Amino acid sequence: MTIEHGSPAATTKVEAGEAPAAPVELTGVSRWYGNVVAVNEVSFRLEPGVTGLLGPNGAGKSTLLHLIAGLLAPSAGSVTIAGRPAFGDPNVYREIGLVPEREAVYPFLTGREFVEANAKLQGLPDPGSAAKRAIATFELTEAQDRPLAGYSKGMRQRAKVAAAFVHDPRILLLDEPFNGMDPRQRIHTMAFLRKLAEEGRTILFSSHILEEVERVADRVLVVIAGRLAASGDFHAIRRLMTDRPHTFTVRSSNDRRLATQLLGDPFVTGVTLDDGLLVARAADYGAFSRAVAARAREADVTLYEVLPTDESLESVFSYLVRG
Amino acid sequence: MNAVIARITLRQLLSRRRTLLLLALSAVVVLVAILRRVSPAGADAKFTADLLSNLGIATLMPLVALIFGTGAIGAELEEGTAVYILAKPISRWVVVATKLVVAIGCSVTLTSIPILIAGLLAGGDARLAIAFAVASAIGSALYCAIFVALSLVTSRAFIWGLGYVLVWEGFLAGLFTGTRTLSVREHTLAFTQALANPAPDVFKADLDITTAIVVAGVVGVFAVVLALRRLSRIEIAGEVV
Amino acid sequence: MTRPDPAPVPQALAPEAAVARAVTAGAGGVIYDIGYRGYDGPRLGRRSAVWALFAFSFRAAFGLGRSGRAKVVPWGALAIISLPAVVQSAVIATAGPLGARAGGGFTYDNYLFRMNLLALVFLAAQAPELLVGDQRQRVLSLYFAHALERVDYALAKLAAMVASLFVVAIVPMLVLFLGQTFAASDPFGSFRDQLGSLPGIVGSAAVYVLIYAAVGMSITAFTPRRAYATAAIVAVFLVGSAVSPLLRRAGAGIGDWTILLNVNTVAEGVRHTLFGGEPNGAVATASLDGVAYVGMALAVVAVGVMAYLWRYQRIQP
Repeated sequence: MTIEHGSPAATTKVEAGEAPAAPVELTGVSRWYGNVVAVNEVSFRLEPGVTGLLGPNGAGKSTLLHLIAGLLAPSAGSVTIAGRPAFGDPNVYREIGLVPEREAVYPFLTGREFVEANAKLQGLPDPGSAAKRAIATFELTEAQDRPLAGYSKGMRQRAKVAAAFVHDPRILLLDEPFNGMDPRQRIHTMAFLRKLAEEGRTILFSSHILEEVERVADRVLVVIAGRLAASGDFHAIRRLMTDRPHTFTVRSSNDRRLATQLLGDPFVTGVTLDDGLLVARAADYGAFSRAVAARAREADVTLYEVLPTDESLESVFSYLVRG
Repeated sequence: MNAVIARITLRQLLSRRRTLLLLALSAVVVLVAILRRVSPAGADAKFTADLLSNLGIATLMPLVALIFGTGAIGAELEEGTAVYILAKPISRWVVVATKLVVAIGCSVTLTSIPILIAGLLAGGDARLAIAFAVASAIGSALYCAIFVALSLVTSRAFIWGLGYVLVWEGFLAGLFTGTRTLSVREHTLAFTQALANPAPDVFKADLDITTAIVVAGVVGVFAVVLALRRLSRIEIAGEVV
Repeated sequence: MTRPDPAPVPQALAPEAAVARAVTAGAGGVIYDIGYRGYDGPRLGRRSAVWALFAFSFRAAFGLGRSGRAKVVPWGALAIISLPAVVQSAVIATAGPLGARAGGGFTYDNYLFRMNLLALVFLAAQAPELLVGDQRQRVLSLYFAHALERVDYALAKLAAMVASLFVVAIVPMLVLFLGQTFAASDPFGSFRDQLGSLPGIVGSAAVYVLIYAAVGMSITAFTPRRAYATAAIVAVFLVGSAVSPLLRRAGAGIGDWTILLNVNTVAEGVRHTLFGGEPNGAVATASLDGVAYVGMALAVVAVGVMAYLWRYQRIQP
């Protein structure tokens, strides 16, 4: 798959000696509707790369995305795009591409007309070819002259992404973009997002499918009940959860002897012998990793396999959600 | 004025079912005029005036404007497609102006032209027929401005607009003369009288022309400004909060 | 990545009487028996389903089981349509039977004709309430997956509308009836005298209600949005009543037949033909034979109901 376009033009002015403003920056942002607080004191900076916005339903992911997209005004705090406030200035949309969650598109427009209309509304000098490229990127060329009403859910999603991307935005915001896509389309789109990220664009997408986020995102933002519960690389987040012991699965030549040896170690909080598998729990990931080899040598046991078993985003996430 | 927005709005407003229904409605007005013309009673100025004011101004004009006015931007806001127009580097004034122009254009076409044709066919005073048509164009424009603003204020603009037309303009204005000042229908009738100056026994408006011009002007400007302000600060939330 | 096997099923759970907790375990998966069983017993049939839907829709027409806002229009309409009857009864109670004229001059013959606007409001607001919600939220497929046939669904809804409109039509008349009974010096005598007019009362209400419901429900079945359905119903009644006198004056030989475009006039005509009494509105001045009204009413009801049933036969759930 080739993407033919230039790298995004730098649109931020950099004063001498001043660091360029982050593509997206939220400072103390809250948003409430009457008594319901949808987003609660959220602060973060989005840098180039792919960031996954993760959270259970009703956590405020959509609200956050719409706040960044300038479609909602923060009740408190500020949302800036390259230093300028996101809400209230239509010009900010030159730099943003938004894929909204709602399925609705204009049913009477064909795929091509839809993408082209978006290109024209963006004021592109050559909307026709920009649309053609976007359509080709998402493999809609065959269906482009059929009305959107006849598209499957996955095709409509792709049309929405093509329309959001047609003007080559520096920032792409996607709300549940993989909804309805079949596995192949999902892989294709994920690869596309990664490629964009490598070109220096800033991409934020929300999802509650953990494998997707794990696969595509460099960093995650975990949002729970409107608050930012964690942010960064999820491996690093896992390290920070020191009050929850890490589990390791160990296969060795003599599990029982190794288990006894490990129990003597202060880092190890528990060991389970189960059907040919040794499961060890340790408070300190790094310390255990170093200790297990030493203990094996002392016990004259050969290590075949040492695996951290709850390193997945799922376990991180469920830990955060359960609070 | 943005051509893309105009085209999309036009295609959205003129869906097949809607257009056919409204054409049928306007055809009814013309039909009644024809029937009268070929009847033994023949052309009669009073009948024409009654036809154009009751069926044309009081029934056709508000219904057509209601459908096009609330649909111009209301439909997109309800469906969720408004984001494709609003998340673009286009000034909100251009959006409002474009949609207003399209809505007014459609309304005037399906209101003033049938009224003109019906008026000329039914006979009587041609000048009166033209006056009705021109006044109905102004009235349609005013209705559209009000309904577009209304659709940016509430999601139930259609039913409120319908309530305004039926209860305020239809029911109350018949009972309390004061309410007539704020009735687009009465403004339109006043314009008609001012343009054609018909004999009082043929047609007489209930509102004087000065009041009509002033109030209509104020309301029209207010509606457009309100629409612009609401659209500039409009907020679109995701589906799941 | 290897994962430890899941914990075995705790055998400590006290089994319910006679329910065995079977566990089927294979190489990599486990199936737990949580006591789910199919139902093989007797089922209430189609009749029951239709009745249940009718009862539910009847309640929905009055906003019962819904929020307060849903009750405003139906109960408001019922209250306002009964108001003249209450007022007149109060006047009669104080001023005697001759006070009826002062109280508003309502009789069983002219009540529905004069207050038809309220029935129209009820119909225009509640017909969409009954039909459009199911259409919009794709609930129809759920209904049709059960013992309910499409025609059952359609008729049950229509019957609910007829029944609820009937309540709206009959309550004010009953108020009048009771008012006159208790205001009279001889209640029992008055009651006996008025008893004769009961069939007429019920019949008149039935006539109005059937025609209105047929028109309203058939229009609503074809309209995808609530507000549009309301507007369409209102438009049909209003445009008909606006066009009708104009056409009548237009002459051209059609003459009085144009009054048949006004739904209310048609209903009044049928009422007058079948139950006598004072004719109201255009019926009094027109020179149409009673058969014309009955014929038009039958045509309208037949066409309306058939279109309505056809629509539900063909609709994609």
